[in-house]
Amino acid sequence: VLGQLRDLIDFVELGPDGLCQQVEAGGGRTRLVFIPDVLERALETIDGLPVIVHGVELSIGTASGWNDAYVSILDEFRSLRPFRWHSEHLGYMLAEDQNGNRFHTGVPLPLPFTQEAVDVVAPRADRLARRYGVPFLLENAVWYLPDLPADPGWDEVTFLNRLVEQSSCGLLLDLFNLYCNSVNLGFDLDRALSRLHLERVVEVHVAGGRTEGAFLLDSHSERIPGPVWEALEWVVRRAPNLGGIVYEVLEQAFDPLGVQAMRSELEGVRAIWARCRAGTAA
Amino acid sequence: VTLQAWQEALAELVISGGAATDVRQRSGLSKPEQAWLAALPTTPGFRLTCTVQRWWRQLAVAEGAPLVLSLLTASDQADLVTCYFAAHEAASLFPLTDALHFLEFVLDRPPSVPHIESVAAFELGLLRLTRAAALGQLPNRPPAALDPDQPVARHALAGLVRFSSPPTEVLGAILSGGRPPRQPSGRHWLLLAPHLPNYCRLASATEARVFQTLERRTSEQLEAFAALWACGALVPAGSSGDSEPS
Repeated sequence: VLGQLRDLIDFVELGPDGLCQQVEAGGGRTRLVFIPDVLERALETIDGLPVIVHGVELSIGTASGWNDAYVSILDEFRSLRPFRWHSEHLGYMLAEDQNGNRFHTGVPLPLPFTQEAVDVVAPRADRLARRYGVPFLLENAVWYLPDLPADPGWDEVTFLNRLVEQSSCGLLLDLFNLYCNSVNLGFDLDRALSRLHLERVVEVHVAGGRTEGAFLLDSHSERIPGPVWEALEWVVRRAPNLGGIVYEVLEQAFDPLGVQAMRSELEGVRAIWARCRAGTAA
Repeated sequence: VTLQAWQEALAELVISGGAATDVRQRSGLSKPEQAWLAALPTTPGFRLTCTVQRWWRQLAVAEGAPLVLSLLTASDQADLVTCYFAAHEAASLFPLTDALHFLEFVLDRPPSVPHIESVAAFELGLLRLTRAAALGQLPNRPPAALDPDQPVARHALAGLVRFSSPPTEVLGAILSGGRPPRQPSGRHWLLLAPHLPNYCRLASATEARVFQTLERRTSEQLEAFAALWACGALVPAGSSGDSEPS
């Protein structure tokens, strides 16, 4: 698919953990190991394209500490292929019980909108930026749980703004995630975007998803919906440090969606960039 | 402490599908957090979160254990997967990990379905071998010629699977969407080993006995021993791939 769309792609976002297997490391612990053939094929495929990194497994929001196994493979990947920036999902997938045993949630879970959560994540974001010497971004999450606990007066946008105010991290603004949350949780997308620190947005994600009952799912399986296109154009005009836009599609959706549809989405994204950022390379 | 307690409680609630209602009593939670956790399981958003978690795990099991699942009706598949999820929490988002654990679970508590233990053992062995190969953990070259006096062991990932009908008929029926033979027709063996094409082949009764006992007294046993050695089912005792010293 990448080969058929190559003329529309300026850079590639890669998830190092997607090139790994999890193996036992003794004592009930696990580690991540690159699958040599898969890693080699990925590096060959993206040869010549700038790379940015987007991880899943870090669990940056786990109060008792992030996933060291992910940091190890990011170290290894950095030695193979430098990246311009890297990012992670804002949330947690590891938890710790009262006996100190860690366990996996099986699905990314959100953080409460609290100063305590900011105090956990912000210094870690700074550590990651220092460790790799390139910007570190946090991606706004999607969730379906109602009324997350929050400090008085805080909502998702307040939480994201506090994070960037209290750390060096930038934002990976996933417009489809924010759109899903606005639909599912009932807030105004435009108002949310107008309150966000757009000067800290370095990357934008766009995607489409299916509906399940009353919920819009972050399934990356459908065409990009109209409100996300409108939000994209609005943001691209107003985010001065935006470095690139990534179109996300789930591998299982390649066939049903079709290459022509993906091509059309990429052309749309490029057209917006060209319209709003004439003369600026992604 | 509050964030850690909240994360633990929410994670346990999601993993249990809302059944772990006692989590709201955990120390470290504020009153509003306790109230939020108490109300959460009845909300559509919580149920969807559990469904998404379960959907990823079901996909992992379906992709990793298609042969075992093919032996079951849709309803029995759902029951077995539900029992597995109840017994095993998600270990990660890596699908192979869940598939391996599922097959181990089936072997520990096999449903009363013809051939299911054999097929689960075969599928588990194959997954372990393909994973090791993908990670570059299998030796690249076939082993050197066998020294008759060399102590040997079974390779940690080699295996012998017993079928009560010819494995080709059982697996062939599953792969073609047919029904495997129901009447037992003796003992049949399938060998899993690192240097076999596709990591498996039929094994003779002598090979099966030699693999199990490591005996090499008769000429027939020596021949079987050499064949097992050549395909990597047996390795030098004490080498990195051995599982049990002879």
